[in-house]
Amino acid sequence: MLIDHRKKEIHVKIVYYGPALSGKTTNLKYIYRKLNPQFRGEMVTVDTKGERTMYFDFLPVEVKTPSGFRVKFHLYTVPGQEFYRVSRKLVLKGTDGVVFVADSAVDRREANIKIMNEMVETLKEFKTPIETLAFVIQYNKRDLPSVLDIPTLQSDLNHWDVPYFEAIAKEGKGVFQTLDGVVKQVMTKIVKKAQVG
Amino acid sequence: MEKIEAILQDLIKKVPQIRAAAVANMEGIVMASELGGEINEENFGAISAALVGLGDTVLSELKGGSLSEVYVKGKERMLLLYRISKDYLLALSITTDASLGLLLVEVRKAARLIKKNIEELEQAASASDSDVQELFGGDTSFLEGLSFTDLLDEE
Repeated sequence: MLIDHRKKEIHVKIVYYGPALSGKTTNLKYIYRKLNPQFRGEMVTVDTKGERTMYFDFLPVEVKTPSGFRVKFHLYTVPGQEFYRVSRKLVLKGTDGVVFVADSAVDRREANIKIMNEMVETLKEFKTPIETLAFVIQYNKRDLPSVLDIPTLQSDLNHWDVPYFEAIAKEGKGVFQTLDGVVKQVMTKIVKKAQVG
Repeated sequence: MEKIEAILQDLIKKVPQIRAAAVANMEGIVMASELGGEINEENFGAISAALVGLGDTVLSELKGGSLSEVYVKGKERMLLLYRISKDYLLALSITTDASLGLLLVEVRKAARLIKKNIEELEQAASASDSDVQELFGGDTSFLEGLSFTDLLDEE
């Protein structure tokens, strides 16, 4: 997080993390498409020819507080494929919030658990454990014919009882609710920090 | 931040082949810039930090020591990323006719000054956390109604 008192701006980093093809980029693309350009910047994508994320996607969005303070959220995704572990680690560093995008498909159960464990371990390594960050989980692809039920997903992934959101990101369902969820947590942390300070 | 912007302005004045300059942290967040309106600040910061992070990883694999500079050269422009410290970088967009030797002398001088300023800013930051409350106007009720769905483009 960076606070620029002169420009009255706070910059916050939020990372969308999750297994390959779980819908992280789809979330960002939907936000980009639907949000009034006044409140978002241009989306940067570093992907392969097959449009699979190679390094990251990046989209800046912002809100204004009643006192006229601008809070800029720098949204990133990570590449979910196994061999891009190093890229995931680089993007995750220094984040203020995490959206874990899980794939609800029955056959992606192991992949969800594996990459959640990887994320938790990486954050520990960075000395910013998940408990200290703004954190929400999105259970995406709820429209698939064969999905894990919510109690199973919760038991597999949500060991911190953080807010979760059901989504069909390709249709936009749950996308903004998820973003609002993580943004509120980040803002609450900033305000609490200010009150302590 | 004003002091760092002044250092960037001075650098561009001394080396006119530098067309844009920014100081960003390794999270890609720009803290000061002189971009002349042709480069998007947020995207420039994000990409620059990503390239330096990738460079770190490459050098680590090659056992090449710590990263000091990254160059990306195109037909029209060159991007120079100069590591100021572990957490900060200086990103410069330069025309390709620039003499790198002379340029680097000025860049190193500027980077040293910027590093000193960042250290001073960081020392001051811990004392100014309470300013955030002042900037929020002490009113946190907006958090309840905060929603991006109110900011959608009209179809």
